[in-house]
Amino acid sequence: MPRALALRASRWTVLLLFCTCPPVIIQSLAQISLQLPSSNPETRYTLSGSVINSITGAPIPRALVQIYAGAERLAFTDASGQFQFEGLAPGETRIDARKPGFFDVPHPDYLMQTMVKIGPQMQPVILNLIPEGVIYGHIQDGLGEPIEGLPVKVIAVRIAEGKKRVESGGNRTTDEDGNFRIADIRPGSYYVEAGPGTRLDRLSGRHAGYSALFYPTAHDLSSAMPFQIGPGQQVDANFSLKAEPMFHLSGTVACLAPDDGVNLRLLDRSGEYLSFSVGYGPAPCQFQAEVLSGSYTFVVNSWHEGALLSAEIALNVNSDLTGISAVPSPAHSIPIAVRAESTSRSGPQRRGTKEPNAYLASIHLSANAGSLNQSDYQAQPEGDPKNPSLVLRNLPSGKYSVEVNASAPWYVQSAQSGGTDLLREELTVTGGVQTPPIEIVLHDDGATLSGKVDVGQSVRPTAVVLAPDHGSTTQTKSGNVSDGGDFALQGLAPGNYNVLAFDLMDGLEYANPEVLNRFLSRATHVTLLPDEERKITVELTKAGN
Amino acid sequence: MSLLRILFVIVLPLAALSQQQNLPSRPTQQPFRIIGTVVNAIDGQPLSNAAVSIGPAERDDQVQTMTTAEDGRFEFQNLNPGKYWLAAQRRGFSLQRLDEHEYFSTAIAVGPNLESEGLVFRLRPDAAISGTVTDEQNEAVRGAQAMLFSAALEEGKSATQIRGRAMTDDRGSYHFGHLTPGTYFVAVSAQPWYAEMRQARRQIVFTDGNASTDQSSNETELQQSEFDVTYPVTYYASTTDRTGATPLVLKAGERASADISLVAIPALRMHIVDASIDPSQGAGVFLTQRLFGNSVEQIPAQTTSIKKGEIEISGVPPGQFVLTFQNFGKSPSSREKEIEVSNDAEVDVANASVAPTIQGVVQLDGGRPMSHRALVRLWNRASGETLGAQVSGKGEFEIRDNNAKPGRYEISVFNVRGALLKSVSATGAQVVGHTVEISSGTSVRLSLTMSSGVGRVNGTALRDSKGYAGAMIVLVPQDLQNDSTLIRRDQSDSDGTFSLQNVLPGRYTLVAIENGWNLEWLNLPALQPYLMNGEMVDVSARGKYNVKVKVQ
Repeated sequence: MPRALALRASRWTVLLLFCTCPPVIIQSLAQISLQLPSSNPETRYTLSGSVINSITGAPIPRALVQIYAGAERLAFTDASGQFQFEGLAPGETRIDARKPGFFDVPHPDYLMQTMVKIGPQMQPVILNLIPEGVIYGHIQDGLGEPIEGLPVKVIAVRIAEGKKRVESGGNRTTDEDGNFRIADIRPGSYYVEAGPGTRLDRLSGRHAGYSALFYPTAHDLSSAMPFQIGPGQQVDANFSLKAEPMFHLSGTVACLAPDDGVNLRLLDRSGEYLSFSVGYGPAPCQFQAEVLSGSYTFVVNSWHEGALLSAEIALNVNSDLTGISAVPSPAHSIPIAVRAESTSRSGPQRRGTKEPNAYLASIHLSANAGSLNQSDYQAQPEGDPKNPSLVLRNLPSGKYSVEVNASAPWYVQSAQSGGTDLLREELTVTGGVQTPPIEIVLHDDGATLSGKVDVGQSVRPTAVVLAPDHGSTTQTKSGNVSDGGDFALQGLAPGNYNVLAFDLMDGLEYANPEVLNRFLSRATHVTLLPDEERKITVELTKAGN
Repeated sequence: MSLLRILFVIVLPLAALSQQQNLPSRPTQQPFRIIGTVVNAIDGQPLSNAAVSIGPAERDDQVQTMTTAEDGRFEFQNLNPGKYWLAAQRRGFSLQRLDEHEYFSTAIAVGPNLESEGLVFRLRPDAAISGTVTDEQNEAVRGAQAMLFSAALEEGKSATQIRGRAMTDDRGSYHFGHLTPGTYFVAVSAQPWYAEMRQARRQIVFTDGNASTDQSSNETELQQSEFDVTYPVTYYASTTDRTGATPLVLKAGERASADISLVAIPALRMHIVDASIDPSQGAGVFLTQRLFGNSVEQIPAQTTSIKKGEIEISGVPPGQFVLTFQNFGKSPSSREKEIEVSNDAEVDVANASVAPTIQGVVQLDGGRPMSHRALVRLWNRASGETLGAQVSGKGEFEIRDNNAKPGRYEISVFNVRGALLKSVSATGAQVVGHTVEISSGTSVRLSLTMSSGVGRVNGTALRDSKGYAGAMIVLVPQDLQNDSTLIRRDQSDSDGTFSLQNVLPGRYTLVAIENGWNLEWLNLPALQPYLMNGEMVDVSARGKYNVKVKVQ
């Protein structure tokens, strides 16, 4: 009986909050509903439990368990994974366990707190630790000789707020036998990239290079094969690279003053920055670099008297190139006008002190979204705090995906730059051309959508996704579903939506229309009118299928 | 020949070096060749697939490279008369020049009546050290820092220096590759993964609303001590005493293993009291430990500012440390104190030593303007530490180094074309030859006078009246004790010739020593027996000499 109870208690009670903040999971291990008898406050209790491997169930000896009852207290688990804290006063405390080689949560963004109640009728606590994954391998050249000192990068793919993100999952360089080993890998999807690297032949003084290769033989991320790494899994990733000649690039950057700050970088075809550095100097305003053959974008950013100037030059390299000339032009500044129009039939919704419009909306631009070198730009209020203006500054030329948000009770009715509808299209910023100001219109006659998820059998819904049917990714919203299957979303822009309820949001790229389209046959279609309060019932969709 | 030239590119004007060199003349069809075999230095077996290069000595261009076949043979034809350096490398054999010692090697002289065929290039296979770091429960310690030290002759005296650092991986493994034969030590610095510093503990209040006061009674404090621990720096084979470290004597090609187990010991806490500690003005206190020779390692302890005038350092192992104490305020200052920590201690830094201030002026002959690239270097021969400063156009310099320690320093000046430091005088310190004795907290003013011109000593090392290759050539100044920076060295080339440049005018003794590469030449008693059979040379400014010297 105690064993069964312990298992029951270790099942997660999950509460997901969907907002711009990371999910918070509270794992409760005690029967919270149980009324604590009015015990003598002098009574002391003993908390015991064990730490186990979440995959094998094997006990983990010498894990460190920490509680926060009064003062912080620590204990090691013994050889059979058991721990015990004695002399505890009744109350509730957080408890956690750690050990090198294990994770307590699947992702660092999960702010998981495991709480335990100390008092009479305490059950043993079981804490799960997730074993790390390891990626290792061997890299050799075309002659079968190991390549030493080559950078190897693990690229993690993860889905956050319905969007795919790639980020570094660790890097190493190969040892003298051409081997690498990267541990500390959480369960998930990973690409492995070997190179690019240069090898200086010290005998001849010449450089040879290795182009980047994504496992197993792809030259860019999009055609590479990711590894699905489960908890505790070790995978072998071997590469064979061929040395290629390097070519010399040189030229000048038009600089206004010799000591202007200059940043020079090369992007490859997939928009990633190369590890080959671009040398600046020795003469003022001159640069040189050595690269492998290929297509590159040469990116120049320079600062003159605090202002950013930038230039981008497309380079197709298959021989030495000299006399490259980069003339940076001033980076872009785009003023933003925010108009708040009270359109609600129930009168102005604005409460409290009248806030300047610039504080009601936020606008976020991303270049190369979803790649390793995603750059983000956020408009900042400037000038008089009582009457600020909103400006996006120092934007280099490029294409940006735009996200506009409004604080309640407002919603974004429209966001435009010239003829570009920023709720549906990307913003293109071109060198030498003034980008039209951005105009954001906010309304407060948003609709409320509430309802119930048709709970089927044993699968529990966790969240609803509300997607405008015109396919815009940035306006997709989500909300959590209560234990009883209820949900409510407020401040929604009037319009046509597809509503879906999912059992599992983890890893679901719901902000990607291509991914969401697969589920649309199960969606509930709804048209929301201004100020409407609408109730619907939504079918449950299994995200895994 | 000397490879020092390559190092000197930074510190000496190139023009001074490239005068009067035996450059090959214009390319015409020449009958001269360099032919030889690359063999494994261990077993003498020919090495295939080795890359062999040659190039004119004293130049970096005109490099020719070839790869050896099964028989290890290499051949370069149609060479102009002159001297050529020779280098080779192969997988498992790091790049080496012919008969390489420190930054010297034997160049091959090519020309009429010179032997440049039938060479045997003995390539030394690399050695390696790897091992595993485990803790007191025999579990792997990941992220520990392994440090490799080698005991070798360094600038003419025996010294143990740090050679590399490596981080242990998830299995606790570390690896140091591409090592030359020699004597090594391994040390590990790490913190227990579970260590909780006493200061880091937070007070967490019960959620039942009782703002429960500290429940960490004495009993709790005792229980906690299991986690208030640290690892002292631990040497192979698992000792915390440097003098008990086991040397790893590696032969060429040897792969040694050195596992180290760490034992956590109770961490100590130091309470530092000093009126001048003012965190708002920026103050830093850190602990360093002297490992081998000149290498110091910062102790990964935790520093907590308590209030004005008080700082606490927790997580400290017992041992001998240097406590460095820095103020970054309006008048930055630095003080040091040697301390022995054996229990939780109060430390008073009042009588700590204060960094000296050193400034001065460099005078060029005839009042010529100073090169703005000129550098002054002070070298503490005993500790190996150096201080440096750039010289202004007016010839002034100031050493702004808060860590400057009192001691005996030998002075040199670099990057002044055709001139070397001739004489030193000082106020606030005693001077003998090129050496100045600096005391704690003093203010020293140096006056440095440069020579007008430098000399050059060329020559031939002879045995039985024939040129002798691979001898160590040393040009020894009269006052070796105080003017050791004036020593010049080279290795004789295949025809026995050598060249010593940038010689300060004065009287020297020239010696050629067979198998001299293990000699502590900076040590007068070690060099003394050779001096009486050496050749006396009086060098004048811009003088050029050609000396024949017998190999001893």
